[in-house]
Amino acid sequence: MRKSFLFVAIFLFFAAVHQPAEAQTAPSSQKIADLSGNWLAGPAVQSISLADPAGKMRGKEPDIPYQPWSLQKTLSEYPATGPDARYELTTDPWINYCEPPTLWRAYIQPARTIFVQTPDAVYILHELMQAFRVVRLNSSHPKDPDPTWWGDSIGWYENGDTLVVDSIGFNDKTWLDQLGHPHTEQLHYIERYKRVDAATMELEVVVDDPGAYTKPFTTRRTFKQATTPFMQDPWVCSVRENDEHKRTFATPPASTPAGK
Amino acid sequence: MRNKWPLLIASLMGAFLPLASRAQTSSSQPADLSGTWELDGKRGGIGQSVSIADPGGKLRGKEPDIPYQPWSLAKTMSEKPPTGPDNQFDSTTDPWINYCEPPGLIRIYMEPARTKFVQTPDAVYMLHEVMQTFRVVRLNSKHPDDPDPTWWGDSIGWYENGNTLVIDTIGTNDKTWLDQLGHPHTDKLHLTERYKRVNATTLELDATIDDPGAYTKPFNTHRNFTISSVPFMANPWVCSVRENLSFYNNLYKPAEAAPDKAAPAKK
Repeated sequence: MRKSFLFVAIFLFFAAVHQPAEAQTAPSSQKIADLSGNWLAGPAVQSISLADPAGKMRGKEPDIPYQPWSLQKTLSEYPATGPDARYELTTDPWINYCEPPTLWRAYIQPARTIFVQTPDAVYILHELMQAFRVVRLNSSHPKDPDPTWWGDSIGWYENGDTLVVDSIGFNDKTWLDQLGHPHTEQLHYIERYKRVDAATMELEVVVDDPGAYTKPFTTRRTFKQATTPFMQDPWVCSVRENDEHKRTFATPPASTPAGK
Repeated sequence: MRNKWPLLIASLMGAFLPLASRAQTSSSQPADLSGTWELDGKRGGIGQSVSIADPGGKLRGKEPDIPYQPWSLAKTMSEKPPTGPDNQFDSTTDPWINYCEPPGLIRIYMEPARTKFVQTPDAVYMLHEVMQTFRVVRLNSKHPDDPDPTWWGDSIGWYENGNTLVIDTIGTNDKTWLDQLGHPHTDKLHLTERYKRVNATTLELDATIDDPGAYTKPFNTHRNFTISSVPFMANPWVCSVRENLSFYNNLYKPAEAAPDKAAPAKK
């Protein structure tokens, strides 16, 4: 019996000290959500508004708490797509200058996203613009971040199934959606990516921008696993090609990809 | 102890457990490319040209190591670079400056910006501050039979010698420049990159440019990287044609400006 015990003890000792280096040791409150997969948002939308995803009520959405200037700004824009589309006259900075379609807008086009998860950061890779975001884990925002196009993002996990991404430090140059809803440098953007099941992920967003809206508002998006492999169809912007597109089409269909 | 066999077996099992958990052979042991990499200012720095013989671009069109075809020589000389000895920023033909088209392979490493390799078992993701863009290098994979031409091409990779990542790329379009000077390529380009981790702070890239549509034979180029003291993405480079135009109108200075100061707007 003593020899058997010694055998087991030695076996267990070597098994313990030779754990694979990638074993995760996060406490249960920070259990890592599995966001693996190739995600495609749907159905097609134009607007960040949950009440009016197609953009038929631009400027009159019951869930967009406009300030007077942000309402005026929205209605002054010529969208490239949607019910009010004027592609040949569009004021869309993505089409006209290849400025990036960030955050919510990155999920409006039929392009795929993957999450590359490491212990220190989650890298969100978008086919759209072939652009990435860095979400730092175990981190905090700088005290006074320089405004950038994609902002400064930190993140943490909740409930073993959700990645929370908290972003500040944006410039004011991008549109929130295809319709031209603006934001300011005061934007505080909170995303919750929840893995619902093997094929489904849900995103809930809180848009908190006291410079543009009278109160925070919420929106949502659902993702499914895509059948097309990631990056088989990358979207790279070219102002030259967008200008050619304008010459070819007067007002293209709502889902026309820009700058592919 | 009369019977020593159980103890011996237990010891051997413990010793072999770690080997069993690492099934890769030594020829495919991943190289460690971790870190934030920038061009090494003490070993060549940013440069202007793919030419190893003429990295600064002073011999544009006459480099002894660029095997031009007649059309690719004419094309190069027809371009107006935004930087370098022949720079004409105010009238540049650079598609990156003018249209925010990607700087593309090799040229992505001619700016004072950083790159990171995120390595997973199935792929290496190369993240570039320039354009805040990425490349996907599929491991354990092969090229499609007839890839559609894309700006960055189709890249597959493997490891060598435990310290090198080899990337093989085909399927590019013909729209990007190989460098700041305007050296062209076609969609026949076959680029082979070898990223070698020399030591903790040094990474070297040896690349072979094989483009029978533009050059009479393959030729090599080289980049030296060092670990950056600036955190990755502290200073992202996002292209805006509107801001490039503003940059020219407000800040452009003639040829004495250092090449990196004449780069496109970053934020």
